Amino acid sequence: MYPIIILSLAGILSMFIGAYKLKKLALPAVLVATLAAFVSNFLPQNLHDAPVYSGMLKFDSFAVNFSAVLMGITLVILILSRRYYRDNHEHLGDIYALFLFSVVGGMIMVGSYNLVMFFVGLEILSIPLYILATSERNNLLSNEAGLKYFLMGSFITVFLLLGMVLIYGMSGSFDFGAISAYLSSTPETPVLVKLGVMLIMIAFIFKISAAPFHFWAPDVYQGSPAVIMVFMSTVAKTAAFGGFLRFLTQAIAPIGDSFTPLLAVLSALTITIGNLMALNQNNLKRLLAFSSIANAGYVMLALVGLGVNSSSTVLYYMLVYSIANVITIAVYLTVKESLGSGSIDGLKGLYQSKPLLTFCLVLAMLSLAGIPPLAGFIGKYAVFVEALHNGYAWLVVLAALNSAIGIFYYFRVMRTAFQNAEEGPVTVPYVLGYSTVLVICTLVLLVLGIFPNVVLNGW
Amino acid sequence: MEKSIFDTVPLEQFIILSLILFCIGMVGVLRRRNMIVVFMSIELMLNAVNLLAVAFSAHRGDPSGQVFVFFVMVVAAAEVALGLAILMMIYRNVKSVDINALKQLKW
Repeated sequence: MYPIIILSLAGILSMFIGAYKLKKLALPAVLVATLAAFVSNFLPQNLHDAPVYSGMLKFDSFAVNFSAVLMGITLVILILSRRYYRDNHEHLGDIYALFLFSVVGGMIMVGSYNLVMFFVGLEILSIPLYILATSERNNLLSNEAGLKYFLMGSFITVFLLLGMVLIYGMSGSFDFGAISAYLSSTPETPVLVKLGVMLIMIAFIFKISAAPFHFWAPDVYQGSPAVIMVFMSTVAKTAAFGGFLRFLTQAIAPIGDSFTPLLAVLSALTITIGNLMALNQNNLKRLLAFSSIANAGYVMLALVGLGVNSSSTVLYYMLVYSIANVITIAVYLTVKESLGSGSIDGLKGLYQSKPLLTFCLVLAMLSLAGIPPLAGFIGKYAVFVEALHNGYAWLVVLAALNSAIGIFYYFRVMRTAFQNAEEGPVTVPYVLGYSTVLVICTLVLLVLGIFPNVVLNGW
Repeated sequence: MEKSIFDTVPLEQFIILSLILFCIGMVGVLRRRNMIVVFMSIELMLNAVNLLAVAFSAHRGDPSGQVFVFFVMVVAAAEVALGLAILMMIYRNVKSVDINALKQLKW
């Protein structure tokens, strides 16, 4: 729990920095705090196998590993945001504070051992995101994105609450351990508990933007500022997966099997919808949104075949997916800065002017498409194996077919980058802020592809 | 000890009342086009959940349900504050509180 404390304090500090108009200090302070939190996460004193704080949080290796990934991705996105907010945004301190609070919420969620904490964590994660999505006040697209996200998010939260209260009413406790004990001691699960779990699942499906609650994702991702969009599609999603996995394995493990058929159907639906809709997109952010829907479906395969390795598989897949996403957005921002276009056609002529940038983009796309020997392939392979353990061969076949559709639109982006621009070679200058991120992420992606066991069998 | 309403009215009736309130709120969110009314409907749903939590808590003689209600209230207050801020910002930009006033993001 050290990272939670450090980042909360850093968030408050960042707000004071904003209030005293010391904008130049905001990013260094936030970066140092995130690094400190990242390091303190691995201290042996941080790891507790028993619940702490009156059974509210449990910082076992699951929570520590998920927190590490959440903070790592945030670190990269913060570096990305230095250049993005170069025009001296008037509320820079507040924006960084909201980033940090959101990560704190995610860490509370993955470390929760009580439904109350789970709920509070989810809200601490979401509320800053609502504000961040609307942070471009005079941009109507950003306004609309924020409004949609907020309305749907708070509507779905109520279902989550109803589900929690129903489980509490039947089991008499919010504690994960007590709920699990109650469920294994009752031979027949009451219908209200099943309804409650179903309602919590609705909230989870919304948060990871899986079908049939995926409609908000393309709109919100397209309308939000790019840095916020990449934060939503990586950190918030990873936290949602971690939190739900936690709930599934710790609280309702005795009856978890009765929900796998439902998860399998939803996963099949999500993969198909995400891939088919992505085929026809011209806006790169919107394409990434549908690709993120499809990827959420792949990760759900690991939840379908819930086993000992599921946690590490989910974590590995989300890490690889997040890094590829950050690379794509960094390339997008570099190109957009000089051309001002958000469509895929804006990438035309990229290879002529900047082969290295194209190399990074190709690597990210190949990884997202799941081409061996890149990290994305290993992640997909691992989730397929997980689903096969539980005998869902039809689902794996469907997912593999969908990967082929995925190749189609990921390759379209790559092909556009290699095409010649009509008006001659365009000049896209390297931008230091984005290039740093590109170098870091590309290296991490390659290392993860060559040594997947660093994460996959890490605990 | 004084008799409370939870001793005389059976638990089932509280569950039914909360679910009815919840459904009224849900219909409000799905049918109404005025953002303020939508916020109010979400509040109604939240309070239906709160009522259910309190009823379960009194029925079991366990205080944690009532503590949960406080958490929900705090979060609901934060959400409404934020929602009204977003509403104000949008009203300044488009001079309308209709949900369909902003329709640029599609396909």
